[in-house]
Amino acid sequence: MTDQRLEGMLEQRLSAYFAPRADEVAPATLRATIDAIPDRFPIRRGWFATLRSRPLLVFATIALLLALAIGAAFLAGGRPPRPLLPLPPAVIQPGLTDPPPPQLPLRMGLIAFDTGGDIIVAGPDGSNRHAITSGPATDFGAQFSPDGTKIAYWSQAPGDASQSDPKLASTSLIVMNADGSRPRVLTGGIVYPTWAGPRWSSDGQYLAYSEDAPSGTGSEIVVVEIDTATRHVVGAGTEAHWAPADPTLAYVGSGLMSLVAADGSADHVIARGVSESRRDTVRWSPDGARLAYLTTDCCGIPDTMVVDRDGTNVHPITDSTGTEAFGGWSSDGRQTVLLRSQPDGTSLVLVADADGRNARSLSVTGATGEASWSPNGLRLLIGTEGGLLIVDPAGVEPTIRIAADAPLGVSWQPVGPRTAVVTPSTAPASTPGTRRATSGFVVPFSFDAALLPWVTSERYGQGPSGERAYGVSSVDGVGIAAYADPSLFADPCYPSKGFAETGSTPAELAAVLAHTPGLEVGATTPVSVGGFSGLRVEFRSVTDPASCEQPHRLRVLETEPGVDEIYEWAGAAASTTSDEMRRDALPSGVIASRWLIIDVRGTRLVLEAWSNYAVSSPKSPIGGLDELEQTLDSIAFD
Amino acid sequence: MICGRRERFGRARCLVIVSEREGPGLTRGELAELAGQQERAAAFRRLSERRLDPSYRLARAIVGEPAEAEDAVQDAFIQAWRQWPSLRDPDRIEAWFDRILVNTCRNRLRSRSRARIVDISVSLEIAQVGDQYAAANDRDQLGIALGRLDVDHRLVVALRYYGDFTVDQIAARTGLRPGTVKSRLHHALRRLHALLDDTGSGAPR
Repeated sequence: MTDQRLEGMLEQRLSAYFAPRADEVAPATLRATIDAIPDRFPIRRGWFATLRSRPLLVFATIALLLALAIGAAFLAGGRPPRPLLPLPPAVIQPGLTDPPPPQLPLRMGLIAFDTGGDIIVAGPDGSNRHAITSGPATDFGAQFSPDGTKIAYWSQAPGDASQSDPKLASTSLIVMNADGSRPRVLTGGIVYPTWAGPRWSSDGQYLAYSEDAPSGTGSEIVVVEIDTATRHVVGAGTEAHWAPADPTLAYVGSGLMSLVAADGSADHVIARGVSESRRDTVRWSPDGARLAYLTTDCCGIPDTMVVDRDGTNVHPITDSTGTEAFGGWSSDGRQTVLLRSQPDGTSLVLVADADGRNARSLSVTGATGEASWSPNGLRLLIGTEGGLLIVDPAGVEPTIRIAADAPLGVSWQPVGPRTAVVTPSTAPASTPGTRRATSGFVVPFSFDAALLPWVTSERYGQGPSGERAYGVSSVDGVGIAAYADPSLFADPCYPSKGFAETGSTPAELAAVLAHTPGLEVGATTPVSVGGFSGLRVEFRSVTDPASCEQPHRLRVLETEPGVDEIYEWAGAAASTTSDEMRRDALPSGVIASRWLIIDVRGTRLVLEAWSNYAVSSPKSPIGGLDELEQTLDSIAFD
Repeated sequence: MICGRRERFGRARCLVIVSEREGPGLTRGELAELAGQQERAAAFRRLSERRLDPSYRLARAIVGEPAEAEDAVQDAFIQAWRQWPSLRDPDRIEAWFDRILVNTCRNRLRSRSRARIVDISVSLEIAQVGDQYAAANDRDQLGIALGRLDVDHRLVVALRYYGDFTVDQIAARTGLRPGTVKSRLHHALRRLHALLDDTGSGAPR
């Protein structure tokens, strides 16, 4: 078929694709919102309007840039080091003579994945993503160590990675600290390893993977002892997984599933008729007593089978309805995730009871066949055409999308025991309506390395006395709650106080607090919630009277089409900004509130910029940057 | 009209005209702003009446998701309201507004790729027996492929095949040169071909 003909067909398909939308109309809520714009945004002539003259505008731009540069220099020189996030990027430098001291990242349930040939670490809600490898090498298959402090991954040198077939490229196995520091090549010259990444033994001593045998006779299972960087072959196969609590390896080869010790001893078969797909298909149950695997089958539809560790009690977990992959058990062993293949090559994601019954479909489109449970079993990470999804299988929390380019390996950082509690404070009741739709809460510090990076939901709640409470909970079940009496918002120094309940250890807390000036910690008491132990820490921000007299102000100056908002901070130095929209169903069930999250000198302010569409909400039906500006004019943040 | 199109670079000129209308209780400036606002509001409402639905549809074609499209349209109207003085030729108001809309859509798509978007709806459905082989139709494949185009390519494809705009019209709405529009369209179609041909996930297995 000629190119022209193909192009014509594609054009027809595109026309057909877009055609049915012609009868769509804008929702009534949007219409009402648009109609209200002239009333809600009166034409005001601030000082910015005087800059309409070009020379002044040019002058002001130069002045702003200068102020930014000075501000940046000031911040660089005058600020104490930031907390551990964002972590610095690392470049692999073989022969590094004086490696930097390791930074121990806190166990906060990060995720690691690869995109564009670099390893990315992000908060478990996808925020604060940053590359921890860079450079021309193609890095992928990142896997956190069991203690969460290290990452193992594959790296293909530029020349090799650019070969037409990446399967033939020479791959190195690298282990680095989870912040990207101290990369160490354990072994190189690996051909066609398990793309999803090397597997850590539960004690963190070994890595296992499959690779093409040098003899060209299939693939073999390799175990590398990390301390000594010694490697040895323990069997022939394509897939290897360590038991959850002991250094026993399950591997699949020649249609058999075997268990073997890390040193290659005690090799024995526990199941036959096992499918070999080089995909992540074998899963240990959380207690290490059972294994799930895919069968080779008669009719192109593999079944997921479960076998006890001793090779007995083989039974199917699915009912021959075409489940292609098994995503594993949740941490309590009560739920499973199943990936059912679809004709388009993507998978339908099902959550079912441990026996495969009561399957519910998560409405995920374009799943590409990777799914795994978060360490606490509360979330699912699913790879799709458009990146990664973090889904709450209970359907309560919103799905989080993380843009990524077909990552090959995805890993959750293991977390310690943590608590998730949001309890109203006993602050005095507020006067309803005094704050309009706009309010803010400064989060000037962070427990657990960073507060907001892993926040997934904020809720305004009502305390027992009717106060407005600001609560925060995280995706990995780590809870943190902070409350402020709204009357405090009127204080020019904007103090905040509250408490946090956290699973971080006292040492971890101390490490964070060392980086968070302006915070005073009060009583710390042990708490136990939901079987997890943690700390309840009371805090308040320490205000500086001098800064109250000349408070720093954040003002939204102006917006232009195609230009991000311009902010003024402390009179001159503009902040870095990022706006992230959040949506929450309001109690009225109507739709959404909208947030503006602003980075100001590394402190993240959360401002409710406006609440759209809230027809029956007592909140203002539309607000925006103007309202925000008006409010901020009367409030100082520091 | 009090200030009209010439307001952009000369407030003084506006005030001279306004002075004829000066009334008790209001300063010249206040009066000017009041009248200016009323006039602008009337024109704005005419614009929104005429353009809201087409804008929404165009935004849907470009950004995809309804909520994103709503946000883009709302942003565009707010920008239009604020940037009204930059409308120099009222006869070209639709192209002027489309350009703002295209810009807000582009920003939406860009911010979607650099920040996360939190979806409000995760609906759980009971799996239906026999649904596992529901045919993945052409539309889904095309939608996935479109979603994988980069922002600028997706934009020109949507304008061309949804908006049915000519190359010159697309150029006017994107601020690109016609030659650039042509080459982007060409590349976008080639990329779509490649994406549609590539039924795998792209993983080098």
